[in-house]
Amino acid sequence: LTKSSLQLPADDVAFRAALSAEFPEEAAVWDDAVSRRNFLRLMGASLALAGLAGCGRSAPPAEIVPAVKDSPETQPGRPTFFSSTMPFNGFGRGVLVVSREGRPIKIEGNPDHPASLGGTDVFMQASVLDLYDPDRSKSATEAGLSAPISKLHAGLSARLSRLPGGRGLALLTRNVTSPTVTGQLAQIRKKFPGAKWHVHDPMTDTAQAFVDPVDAVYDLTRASVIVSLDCDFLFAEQGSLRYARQFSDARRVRQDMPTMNRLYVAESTLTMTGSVADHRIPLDPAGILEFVEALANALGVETPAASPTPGEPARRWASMIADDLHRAGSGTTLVMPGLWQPPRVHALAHAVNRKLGNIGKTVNFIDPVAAQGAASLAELVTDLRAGSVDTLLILDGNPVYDAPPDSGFAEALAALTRKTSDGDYTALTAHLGTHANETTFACRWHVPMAHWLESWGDARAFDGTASLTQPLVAPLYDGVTIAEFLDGVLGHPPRGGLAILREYWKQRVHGDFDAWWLKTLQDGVVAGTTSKPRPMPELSPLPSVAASPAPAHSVIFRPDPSIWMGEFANNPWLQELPKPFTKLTWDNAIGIGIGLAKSLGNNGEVLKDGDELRITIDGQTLAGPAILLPGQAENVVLLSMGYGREQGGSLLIEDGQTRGYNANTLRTTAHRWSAAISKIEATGKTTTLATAQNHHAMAVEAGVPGIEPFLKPDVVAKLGMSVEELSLSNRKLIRAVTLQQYQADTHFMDKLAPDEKPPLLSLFKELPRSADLQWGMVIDTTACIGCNACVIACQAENNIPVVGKSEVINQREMHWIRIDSYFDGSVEAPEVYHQPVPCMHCEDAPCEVVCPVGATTHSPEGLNEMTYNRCVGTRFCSNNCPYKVRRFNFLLYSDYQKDNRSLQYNPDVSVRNRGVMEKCTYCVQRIDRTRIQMQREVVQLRELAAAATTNAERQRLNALADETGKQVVDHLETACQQSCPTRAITFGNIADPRAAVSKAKAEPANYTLLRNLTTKPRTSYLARVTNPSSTWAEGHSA
Amino acid sequence: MSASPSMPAVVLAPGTTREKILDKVAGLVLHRPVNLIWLAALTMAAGGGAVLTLSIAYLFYQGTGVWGINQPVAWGFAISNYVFWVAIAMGGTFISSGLLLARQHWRTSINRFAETMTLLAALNAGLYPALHLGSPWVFYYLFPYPNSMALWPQFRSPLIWDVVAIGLYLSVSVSLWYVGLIPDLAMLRDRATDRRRKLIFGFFALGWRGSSRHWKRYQVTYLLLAGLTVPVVFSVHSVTAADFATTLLPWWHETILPPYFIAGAVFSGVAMAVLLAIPMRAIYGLHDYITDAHLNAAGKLILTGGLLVTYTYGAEVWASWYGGDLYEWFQTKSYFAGPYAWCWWVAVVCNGIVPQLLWFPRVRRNSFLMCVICIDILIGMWTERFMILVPVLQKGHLPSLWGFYIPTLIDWSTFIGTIGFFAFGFLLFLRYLPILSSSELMELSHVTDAGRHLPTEFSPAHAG
Repeated sequence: LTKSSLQLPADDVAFRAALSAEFPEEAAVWDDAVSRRNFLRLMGASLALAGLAGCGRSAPPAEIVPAVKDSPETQPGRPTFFSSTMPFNGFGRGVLVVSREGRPIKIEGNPDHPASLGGTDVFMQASVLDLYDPDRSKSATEAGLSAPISKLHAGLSARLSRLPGGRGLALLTRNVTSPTVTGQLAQIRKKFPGAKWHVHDPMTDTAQAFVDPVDAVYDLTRASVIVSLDCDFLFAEQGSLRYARQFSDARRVRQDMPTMNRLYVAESTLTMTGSVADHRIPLDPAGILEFVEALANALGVETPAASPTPGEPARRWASMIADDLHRAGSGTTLVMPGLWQPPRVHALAHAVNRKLGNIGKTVNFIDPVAAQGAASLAELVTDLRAGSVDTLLILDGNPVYDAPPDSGFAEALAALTRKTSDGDYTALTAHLGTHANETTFACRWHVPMAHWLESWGDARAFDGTASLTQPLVAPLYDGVTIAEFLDGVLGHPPRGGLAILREYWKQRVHGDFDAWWLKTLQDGVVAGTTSKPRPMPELSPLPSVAASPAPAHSVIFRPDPSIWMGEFANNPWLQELPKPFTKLTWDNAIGIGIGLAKSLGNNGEVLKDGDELRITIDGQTLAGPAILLPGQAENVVLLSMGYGREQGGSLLIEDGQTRGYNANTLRTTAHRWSAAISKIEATGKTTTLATAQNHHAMAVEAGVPGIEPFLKPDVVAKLGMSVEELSLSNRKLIRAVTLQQYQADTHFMDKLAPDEKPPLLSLFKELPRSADLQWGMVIDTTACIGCNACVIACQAENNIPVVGKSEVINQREMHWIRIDSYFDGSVEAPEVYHQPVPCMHCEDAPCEVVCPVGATTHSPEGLNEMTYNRCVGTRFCSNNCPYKVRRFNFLLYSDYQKDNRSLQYNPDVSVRNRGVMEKCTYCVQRIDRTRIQMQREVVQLRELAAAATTNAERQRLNALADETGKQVVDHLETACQQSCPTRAITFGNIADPRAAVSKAKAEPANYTLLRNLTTKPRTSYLARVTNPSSTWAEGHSA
Repeated sequence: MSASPSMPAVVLAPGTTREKILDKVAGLVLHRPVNLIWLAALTMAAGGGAVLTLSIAYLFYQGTGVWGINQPVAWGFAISNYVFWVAIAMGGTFISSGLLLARQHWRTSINRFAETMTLLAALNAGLYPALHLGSPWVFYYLFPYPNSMALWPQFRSPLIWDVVAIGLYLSVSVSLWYVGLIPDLAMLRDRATDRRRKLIFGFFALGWRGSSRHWKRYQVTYLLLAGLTVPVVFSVHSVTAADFATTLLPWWHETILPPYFIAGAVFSGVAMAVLLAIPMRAIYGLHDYITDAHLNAAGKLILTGGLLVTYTYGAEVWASWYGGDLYEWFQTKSYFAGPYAWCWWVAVVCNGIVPQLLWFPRVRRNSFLMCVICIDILIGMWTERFMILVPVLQKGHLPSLWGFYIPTLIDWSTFIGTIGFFAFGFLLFLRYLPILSSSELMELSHVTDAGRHLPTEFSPAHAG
């Protein structure tokens, strides 16, 4: 070959001839019209086209113009955050939605939003999965058949023009806080004066303690003594995320800040709030009423009406608490009535607050956040029965399922929808909802509702602050929002939620609207909309309570901690989430205390978890499996809502039966949150409950010697051992001190675990670790309230599969972080401890040495890493892990081909195949992203420093580079840490002494699990600090 | 060195001549009509093998989730049955090689089928580690093969030692078994009347002509292999024990485990050999070759193994109490009274108490009682392996993750299938291969029959 190879690019005939002579086997490649290269190019292009075709849904239906450049919002491979608002019980909660390549994949709290402060709960975390729920309604239907929504609107306007003044039109909504929708409802009533608007929300009690409707908003930052009257303010109240943060911030005991608040809780069943109380009094509903009367008496508050004289124990507790409240001083205490408590308790609680000078300080009253002026469900039923309703529009919600049966709503709706004898409908009933649920099937029309991640909208938070909802993705199906639907009712042609929303706010914003709009969308909060406090209104006159004999057994109804009132019932993450304390998954159960379990057992046996109970209230019966609850008030039976649903998703049905029991069947309009039981009995049947800890014998002597550990009796029976023998299993896993002990002695930890040996000297040389970054985590067990947000956050971030009920029974749940619950003390009133357990990332990890293929190894930064591709699945690592944090794909759990929930997957995290071990990675994908960002910024500064002309300049730039690097790392948060409403988790670089995690590890309360095994965990815990009253113990023993 | 003069006389019945031996051994293979009982047994065993195949197919299709294993108890039947079968295999090797090196002439009549037992049991054992992988399609990651990623197994893991040990053990066992077979295969070739058998046996006899040179090479090879097998067998079982002993768990993290496992292996392996020998002797009329003296000697071995195992139980309990470790002692208490207490008590009774009957010579020479005791030991030792594994995993360090393990149908069918596979292989062996080593028996018969001693170089006991 004589010619230069430079001629190669030119299409030189001579060159090609020479080439083919030289390399005959190459000749075909050069001559063939479809070369390998071309073939690959074509293939690539067609694949790309196929990919584009799959994106058809994301393009809006209007004329579109291709972007010449990628929009700044979609940066491939990088997450983008959008602030938005998630509606929950009708109220807004500010979120930041993580979008990847145009898909929302994760929800974080918006730190600027008052109802979040950056924290989240399980519902926010899991809500993103509902967007991709394959069982969502996909198109509008009339009588079950697909029909265009325009037909509904045409029919509606025809009817409305026929009805004089809209008479006969009824709207039924849940709580409405959206300013836009409130405005539309006002317009509708203006345009159709005959129309009626009704509200039914399963979470709201209409009974009021005051003459004017108000909402109470609390400020826990200033409260040093808090009394909760069955108020689960850490989880169930509208402002719970904010309250949880404020509450735990005031309990973060550190060496430089050794003070904390004190919490008294009187409640009927163990709640998250009760679990962190310094003093917890289990009381049945009547007892709570008695207790609050006693408290009011003890503080010299005039009770609004004649009331029964409180009993002796209630008086004693009340007087001790009253003393404590007095000592704390005016305006620094807080009494909180629970939302399920009757108006009387609210009235007395706020009377006490007024007496203690708390109004305007720790308690503020604001005008109601939810739109007022609606009629009730009962009035709607009356109208329905009277035949005065012709057109009923049910906007979101599921009243057929969750309205109390005695309201008669379901029957009345069915009667309205019923066809006439000639096969036609007379009335028009329509249901707007994300799923075709029980209510859908009772209506003629169904319109799919857009998920909030697909919607333009707005909502107000519990304190009145308004914020905007912006869509992250065009509606996956033909969903519309309530505002869009109402816009159609008002007779507007379809114009999209954005136009409606802008129109509303444009009228209310002065100045540059576009600038305001942009800023408001970015901030996620409409500035200046927080409600102003108003004076405390007069208490309503309360009927006097006759001293009626307390019922032998009473039932309390509570929202399920995982699926709430049923709206999350088709969410597999939430169904498989181990519920607090019981660790029950995929079902609800009837919660009873140990006393009731003893008295209800046949032939003197104690009832076990899973034994069926039958409850009768006024002729209505309900059967379900029992579950034993520690700390349950005597003779109180807990029923969880949200289960027993028949329509609305494939997860609601299990083996042809509804999943769980429907507690709504026992509810009545008068007794929505508690009722007297007529009869309760064990049926003798037993089912297996899928609990993630039934195998968990919780025997811990938590640093309080002489207290017998609590054990579920069935566990004791199963183990065939005595409680005493089991207490040998005490491994000092939970450590707790009182504030007094903490303040008195910095060596309190040595006393808690006196038999813990100092770490043994190692025979091996320490492995070299890179000096710059060393990851570590500290979990504050004082701050942890056991809310499970971290569990779901981890699941969302790390593509953790759901395994299903039978696999949970097989003990194969996959959560990378679990919350272990420990009980100490008596069964009736135990101390409760939450311990989140992620991977410990041991420095001398026992899992690593036993892996035959080196699939789990140590990174130079101290991470214990899993290489999924290398794992052959011997499970030896799991056996040798003393913390049992490893999770194995026994079967193909991540079936990423079948379910469009897989659209939620985080593209930064591998989806694990069957036969592979997995576990917490400390969110290594977030670490990597941070490291890259840090290096990029630091390298730039170092280069500048190297080019600097003066020494001083060089030093300044180098110092700046160091500082920048540290700051970037300081912003790194793991998914669990980010989700935590109480900031119980601290994570960071322990090689940096000024990092928060290093400071936490230097605290005297810092300890590691199973230190004797010398695994040197990187995850450590801060001992639980409690603040019991010094007079309490004396008063108790007296 | 010469053998003890009294020994051979005890081992073989009087009047066992070379011709008689040859006729018997060859006749069993060449001139026996197909036996209906054998055929029925083979069919049953083949059914067991089919169950195994189906269980494995289902396992590979679905994943290890078809077993009862779960989060705290990540190892179940697969590992306990692996240990069980390895132990049986080891017992056979102990008879064939260990006793050879110890110059125990009585082993001659039972070594062939003991070796076969070893081979089949080791195959079963070798199957389990492959089955128990979550991702069996990448099983080869366990081997140190050159690859473009320059990845090697993690040599600190006992599982890698296991792979090496079981691989070595299987190859050495096959070699020992086959080398020992060669003279007999040649003998069958010479005595076979039809061309098909002549060809088959001739092929596998590797051209054996019985020349002095052949015998010389044979003896050296056989002895070397036997010498190699004995340390390998000890290493195999020590390594199996290391799977447990190197972990952090109470009752696993113990140096006593390797000798404990070896004692247990001799115990259960010899019991299995005896259990096979007694019916075989009765069915094939081998009373002249496998005499009560064999049972007597085997009984003493079993008793020794049993005492060692019992001692270990006691030592573990004592050490866990004396060590003062809370968790260790808690685990001990769980053994006595926990949910799996039945395993502990079955093991103590079956392995500790019942074998004490073997102190009585009359029991040792009673074939029925020996059968019963051997079955008892096999049950006891199978339970012991389950006991070592499951109760320890079931209650780890954190009570929040205590669990329970219940074997599933597939767990059981896989185990029963391996028994079927074992029986299938053994029945084929009984029919198509010489079940006694005629060449070695003839050496013995020289001594027995005419009181003449073989030239030194012919006697395996004298070689080397």
